[in-house]
Amino acid sequence: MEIFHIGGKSGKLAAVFSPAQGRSKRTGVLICNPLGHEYIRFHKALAVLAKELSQSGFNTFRFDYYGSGDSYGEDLELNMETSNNDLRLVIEEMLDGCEIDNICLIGVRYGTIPCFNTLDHPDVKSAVLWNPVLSGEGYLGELEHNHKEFISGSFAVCKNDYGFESLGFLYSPELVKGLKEFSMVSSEAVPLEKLLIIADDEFLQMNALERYSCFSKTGITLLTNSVPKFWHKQKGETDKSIVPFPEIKQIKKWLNGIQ
Amino acid sequence: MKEEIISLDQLSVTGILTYAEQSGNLPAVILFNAGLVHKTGPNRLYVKIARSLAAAGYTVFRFDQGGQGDSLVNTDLPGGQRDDYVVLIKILDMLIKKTGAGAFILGGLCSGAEKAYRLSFLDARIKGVIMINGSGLEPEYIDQVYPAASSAIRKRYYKKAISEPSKWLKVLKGKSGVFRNMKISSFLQGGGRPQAEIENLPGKKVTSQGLQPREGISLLLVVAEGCTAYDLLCTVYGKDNKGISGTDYVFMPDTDHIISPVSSQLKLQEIVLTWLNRNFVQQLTSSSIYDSDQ
Repeated sequence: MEIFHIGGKSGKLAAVFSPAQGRSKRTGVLICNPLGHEYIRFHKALAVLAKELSQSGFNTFRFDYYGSGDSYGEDLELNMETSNNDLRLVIEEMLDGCEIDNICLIGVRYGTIPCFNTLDHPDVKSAVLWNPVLSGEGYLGELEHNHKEFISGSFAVCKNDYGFESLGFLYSPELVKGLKEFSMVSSEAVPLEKLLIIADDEFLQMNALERYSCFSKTGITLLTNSVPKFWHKQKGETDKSIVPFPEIKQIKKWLNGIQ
Repeated sequence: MKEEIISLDQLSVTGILTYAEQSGNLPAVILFNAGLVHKTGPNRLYVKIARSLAAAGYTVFRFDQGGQGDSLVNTDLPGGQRDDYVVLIKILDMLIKKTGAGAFILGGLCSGAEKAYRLSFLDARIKGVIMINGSGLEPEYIDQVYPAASSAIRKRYYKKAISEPSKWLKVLKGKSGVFRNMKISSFLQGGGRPQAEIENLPGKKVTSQGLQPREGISLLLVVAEGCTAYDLLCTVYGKDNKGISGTDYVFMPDTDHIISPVSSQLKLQEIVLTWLNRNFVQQLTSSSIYDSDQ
């Protein structure tokens, strides 16, 4: 495992590279993080996922968007455009540094958005959307609801209006605007060979994803989360362990299967 | 602002060194993980603290250790066990080499606060401790008084909720998050017991007599209104923790265990910086920040 900064002077991104163990596969994997408190919830899970995939022979990258995690930049400097640019930068870094033929993007929650927006990259041949955000508007609504729910039941009081605030994080006006305009389902068909979507059973029942035009040209596999809403732990939810191993195994199995 | 990724001991320590933006021979600050949260801290709080302190002249190192966050388990140690003191010494050596720092401040939130406090007894180069939502009480004592502290925080919550209809309705519906908070891990929005993570730490264990920092160490204790540490400390120091002495104690109202409101995060950065400047920068302009919070 190597940890380093990538990017120019103004946009240093913290990245973690888990090199393939044993015989290297021709597909490299790039993990796109969630945001805010969901990033904190998923951090260990995605570190474990990267480790597992590297042990299966995949060169695996994960990184923090500019303005998140250990990367340079502040919360309010992050928006969808910067995230998309960050992802493309890391893709180029991977293609330069690894002996791979193509890339599989794994997006989680917010990470499914830059991931989806980058599926037109000629070297991206497959993707995993784990708990995809189909509508930015709906995602914002969920963030807002969860924040209000938490604040109303805690000692915390949000005194100043710093903008869109949810569970300890600020979301820039540009990000909020971008999210409001984002809709995966109304997008054009993505030119992707293979796609895995992992989501809650309720989500999959409500959304007939295989019938959406955006996925009409894609070989799509749907799998169900072992624990619903893993990203938001609430009272008594002891089954929400730190690392959702069943989903990690599913992703590993699917990736091995498409090689 | 300059940050450097640092790895020690075959990646069993991985951290970010945020360099002081101006040199002033100020002590370097080391932040220990808050519970299971990796080195960014809950709500990216450690990143924000590190950068605000660096802008004021303090070098800050925040890191993951022994399998936590981005670090790997040190396979040289039997069973992958962690030796926090050995790790600390390696970090001090690295900081001396990189920055020339001669004095150090240890800090953290929740179990990170406990670790910082306990390790501060082990090296004379440590000149200060920043405890955020820690108590410094020994695990056995916490076990004894925890039921009473849990009851006390519920009462405080009900009292606060009376003045706020949204919270009040929630209490009536039995959906009060305060109970939820006490049942989930401290890396979420709760205030669990950190003792499981600190039981085997080296360093001085305090008794129910309360915090007794080593001679020559300045100690800042910040406690949020929504943290059980407040109630645990009250069992030693009495109502409103008025009996605390020999420690700079700051009570932060209207915030939870992991300092979720952005306004509280900014306030906390201000509190920490003001305290550091008061204790470690000579001829400092005085500030009334503590007075306004107590």
